[in-house]
Formats: sequence, structure tokens, C-alpha cells
Amino acid sequence: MEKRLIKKDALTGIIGKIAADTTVYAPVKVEDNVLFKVLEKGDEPLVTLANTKNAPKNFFFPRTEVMLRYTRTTKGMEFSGGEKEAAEAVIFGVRPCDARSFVLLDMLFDQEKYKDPYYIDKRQKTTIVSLACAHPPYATCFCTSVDGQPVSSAGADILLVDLGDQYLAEFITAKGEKLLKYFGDAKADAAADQKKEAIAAQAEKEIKVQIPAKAIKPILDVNFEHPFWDTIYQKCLACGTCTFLCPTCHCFDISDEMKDGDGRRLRNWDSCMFPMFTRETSGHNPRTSQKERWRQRAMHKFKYYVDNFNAIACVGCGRCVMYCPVNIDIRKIVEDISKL
Amino acid sequence: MENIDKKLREEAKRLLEEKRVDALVGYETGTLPLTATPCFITNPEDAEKLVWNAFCTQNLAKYVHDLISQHRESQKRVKPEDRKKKVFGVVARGCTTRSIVLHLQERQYARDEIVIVGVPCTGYVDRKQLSIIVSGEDIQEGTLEGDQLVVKTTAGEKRIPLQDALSGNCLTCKFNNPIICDVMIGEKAPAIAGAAQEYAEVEDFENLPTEERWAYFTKEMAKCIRCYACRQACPSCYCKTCFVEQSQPQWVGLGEDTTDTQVFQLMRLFHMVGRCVDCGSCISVCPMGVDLRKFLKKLDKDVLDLFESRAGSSMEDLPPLSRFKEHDKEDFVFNP
Amino acid sequence: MARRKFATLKRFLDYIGLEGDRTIFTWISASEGERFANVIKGVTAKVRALGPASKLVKKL
Repeated sequence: MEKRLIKKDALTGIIGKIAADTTVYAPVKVEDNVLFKVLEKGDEPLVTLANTKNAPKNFFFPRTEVMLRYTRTTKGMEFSGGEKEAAEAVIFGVRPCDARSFVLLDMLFDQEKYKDPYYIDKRQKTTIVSLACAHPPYATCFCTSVDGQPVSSAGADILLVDLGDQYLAEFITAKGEKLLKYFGDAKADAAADQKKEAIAAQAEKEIKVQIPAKAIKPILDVNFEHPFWDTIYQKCLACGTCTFLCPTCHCFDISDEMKDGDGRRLRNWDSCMFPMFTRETSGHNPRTSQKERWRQRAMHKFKYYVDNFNAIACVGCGRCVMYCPVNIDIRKIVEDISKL
Repeated sequence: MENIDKKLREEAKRLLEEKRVDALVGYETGTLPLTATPCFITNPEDAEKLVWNAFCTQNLAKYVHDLISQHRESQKRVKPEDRKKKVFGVVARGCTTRSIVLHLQERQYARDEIVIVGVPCTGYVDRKQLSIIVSGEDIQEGTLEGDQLVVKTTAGEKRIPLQDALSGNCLTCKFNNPIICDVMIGEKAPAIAGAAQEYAEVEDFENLPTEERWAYFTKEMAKCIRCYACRQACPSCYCKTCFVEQSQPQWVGLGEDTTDTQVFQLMRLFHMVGRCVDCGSCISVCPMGVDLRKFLKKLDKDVLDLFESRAGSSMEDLPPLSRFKEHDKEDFVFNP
Repeated sequence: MARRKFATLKRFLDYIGLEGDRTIFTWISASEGERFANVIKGVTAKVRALGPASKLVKKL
């Protein structure tokens, strides 16, 4: 593995140089929000941010994606492909939890039984530059409870670690190595590795929240009808904040839009929190209330995904905890389930 | 504040013990620093959880409506002679009672289905505003000491005057005490100093050129991710099926199309004519910080100006769009 | 009540930045043929002066 050391103040310049050659998405302050967006001239990418409000899943699995277009002609319907093929891109500043979400999403969108062409095309052409959490940014971080680490290269092509006075850049994949030329030629030594290990160990210690996320699967297996589900959903507003900001939530809904004989088929994000979720054409919905929808959310993350892919569909970023408007705290729900 | 919590808990406990209410909706302390969250209490012992402070944001009238509709729905499957009435208690400040008045006027439930526990209000903390004040740093600990918020972030400790972190609607609130209530906890709160300037922002906006107003509307709506938190939190948004979710016909697309988002917001906003009580719930729940109040307050201003009405301000002030006066203004009518 | 809805709608659409002349309201009785013709002439003249609408128009 190639490793480089770069000066701290050189990082912004490096991102700028990459952005001159290819599309770069980076965390940028947009009014009062820090969001991932295309880096344009004059944008200042944030290198010392906590984390973005939106998760980067949008780049591979957009909120709205055109799957195909069609036109009504005298000879019948004519179909054409959806959006044009993705361009090469670099996402800079992805936190290890969010980078890990790509590993989890790959399990679903790029698996033996099903390969999603829209997702895979973009995923293959995008290089992920991850920024390790030398100090976990939020008190709500709980990545270590769900198989993540604050300093981890899972899902990343390049991992940047803040060593205090400089960054250690590790080029994890061949895709990452293609960007080697932008990072100078100061090769990293064993001392840098040791420093990184120490920082990683310290960062893990700084994660204060531990939840028994991995222990609840057998409990969920047998408690589909448990009265506990009656106790968690009442205050839920049934909004989509948690699922839309979540890096791993991936439910979608396909709809057609037509105008004057031209149409398009869209894949839009759906949310298990919405009353419309899983409503059938007849009008019947097997999930009749927010109780069933909340159970679905908990089950999908901590049981069904484990059943299907042997992984928890949560990376512990804490967004749903921080931004739920009525403070429904998934950490507490997991804790409570473990005691059932 | 400790005193008011004590009184509130005693009252809630009494209401539950005397079976005057089947359940009570209030606030309890949240799992994050400086937060409170809605809670539902059926057991008198649990009344100890209740709090009333500057972190209680949500307008609980939304839950009252939900609970009563759910209960009524469940009674439809019960034999008429076995049907039970349920009474719900609610901790309500000024704007919450305005919503309740509106619900009563719109015949959503009867007065005897609710018990209103009134609380005085001096405004609540806007978490997004607080986050801006601490430059987006993670708030790890926090307490309220008098009129100062003591906030510990990764960057260190900071003292913030409570006033600076209050929600915009609270700073210009004219209705900070309950309009109607069955029990009042504590003394009435003093009038809010900024109430005289409640339409100042709207007036400034009205004076901008058309294109600047459109640019602002476009910019704000572009932030919207269509999570519908605003709609879900709003006590006035109680349609069984929102027009957004109707599919035959489909009024508005579900994707991130700019126009669809604008149409959704526009329609929802316009449904608030004479029905928005300026509780700020939609704004506080919005994860993206869309400036909805700029538009809602305009509706409020126009309704006051045109029809001398304010949503839920009294039981006599009926919703303005469900009545008329012979000489209502009609200077907008086109007469070629 | 329709008048009240229009009064607020017209002000509101103007407020968010739509051209005021795109929302036009008037009273016409079924017996007022000439007035109807005049109104339509007036409306088309106003809208023509504004040109095609670009706001709140969805493009697929």
C-alpha cells in the first residue's frame, strides 16, 4: 500500500487541484448547513468539519433517479435510457462511518442475485477519500457498537488521518492510487504508522456511547409481536428525517410521470416512516399504523439485514439521533430491546 | 422552573388518579442535552417525568388530534353500546391552546374530550439557532442557569443568553399564555417585548422587488428534502390523506423536482390561511432549516388586515375562510 | 368565502414572487355576455404582455 505524508495546510490545495481535473464532491457550508456538494470555483471545502448533515449515499443512490424515458408515438411507445452514464468523480471528506455505509449498500445493490446498474455505474466511477475521526466529532457517535471504527478504511479508496502536524494518506485501492500524483512524494515512514495506531486507539476510547446493537438480533427474531412495539412509536411524527438523513436507509418507490405523451420512470427515496410506505394498489396497507412502521425500521436495520447480509444496517453516525425532531433515540430503543 | 415542574406533576398525577383523563400528553427531558420531548402518560406515577421549560418545542395539539382520531377510529369496530369515550389531557402553552381552539372550531373533537393543563410560556430554544451560535460544534452538555444557557461543546464552555437562542416566533409572540384552559399551572407569563414588531420581517420582504422575492422563495424551497416533517408536526395539517399522497390524480410528483417541491410547499402554506398559529413547530422540526415563517407570517398578516381575524385567538374568532362579511375588500377584482 | 380565498391567494402568490397579473379574479353573471368577452380580452392582453410562464412550470 502506498502511503504519503502531506502538510496540513496543503490539503485544501490538493483538493482544489483534483477539482480542476475532475468532479469533486466535498463538505461545504451552505448557509447554516454543512452539506456534500459539487465543489465549484470559490467554494471552500471544509477539512475540519464534524460531519455533514446529509449522508453521501445520494451520490450513488440519488433521492430521485430517472430510470428510463418514453415517448408515445404513432408506432407505439419508444423507450430510451435514463440519465446518461455517470462521470468520474471524487468524494472528499467522507467520515469512516459514512464510508462504511457504502460497504453495506454494496451488499444490497451489488450482489449475486441482483446488480443495480444505476448504483454500480456511479459507485465504480467514484473515488472515496475518507477523513478519519482522530477525535470522534459528536457525543452521539456510536460507530464502534456496529462494527465500525473512528479510524478505518472500510469503504474508502484513500484514507486521510490527521496526525496532528500533518496528514497521513493511505492509498487503499487501485482506484485510490490513481490520485497518487496529487499527493506529493513524501513517503510515510514507520513512525507515521505508529502514530496512526496510537490515534486510532485513542479515538476508539473517545467514543463514549456503547449500545448492544449486535446482541439484539436473537431477541428481535422472537419478538415480532412483543408489546414493546406499542411503546416507542407514539410520539413519532411519521416524517422522513431519520431515513432521509441516514447513510444506509435505501427503500425506494418507483413512479411514472407523464406530460403530453412524454414520460419518465423515476426511482425516488421512500421512507418506512411514511403512511404511504408499502401501501398497495388496492389501498390496503399491511402496515396499518406507525407502530408497524417503526417495527419495520428497527427490524430492517438490526434483524433483516443481518439475516440477509450478516451485517447491521447502521453505521452509528448518530444523524437520526441528532436530527429527529422529537428525539426518538435509536440508541435507547436498541438498549430497551436488549432488555426484553 | 422547578416549582412549576412540581405543580405540573401534582396536577397531572391528580388528573390521572381521579380518572379525569385517560392519558396525558406532556414533555419529558430528552436524551440529548438541552432538549425536551413529547411524552404520553397513563400511569399516575409516571407524572414525575413531566417537565415544563424552555426546551419544550413541539405543539402538542398535534398529538391530541392524533390520539382522539385514533381512539374514535378504534371505536368504530366496537358495538355501539360498548363504545367508550376517552379524555386526553394536554400540557398547553399559548400557541398550543390556539391550535386546540382551532380544532374545536373545526369540529375535530369536543371540548369535553380534552383537559387543558395551561402553562405560561416565555419562549423556547431553537436548536438550529443554538447550533449556529456555537458554530455548529457538537453540544455535549448543557444547562440553563437563570437566563443563561451554559453549553459545553468540543470547543469549550460557552455562556449564551437564553434570549439569543429563542425561536423567532417566540420573540414576537402575542399569545404566550393559554387562551383557554381547565387548570393553569403557575402565574401568567409577562407579555413578550418584541410582539409589536411581529410583522416587521414580512413588511421588509413585501418591499423587495418581485424577482428578489421569487429568488428567495426558490432558494428556500431548494433546501427542502420532502421529508414532510413540517406537515407532520403541524397541528393544522390533519388531512387524512394529504394531496401529496393522492395518486388518482397525482397532484404533485414525489421526486426532488424543483417545481414539485415548490408546489408542495406552496399548497401546504396556503392551507394555513387563518389556520397558522405561529407555534413554530414546522420550523423547529425542519432538518434543513427552510424559512417557512417568512411565508406563514404573511398569511397571518393578511388575514388580520383583511378580515380582522387571528387563528385560534378566541372561541368567537371563527376561521376566516369559513365565513364572510358583505363588505369584505374586493379591490383585487378585475373590472375591465 | 370564495372572495376571501382569492383575496389571500392573490396577495400570497404576489408575495412569493409570481407576477400579480397571472392571477385574475372577477365576477361574471351568466347573462353578462359582453362583460365576459371584455374580461377575456383583458386577461389575454395581460398574460400576453407577461409572456410564457417560467415559474412553477415543471419540465420532465
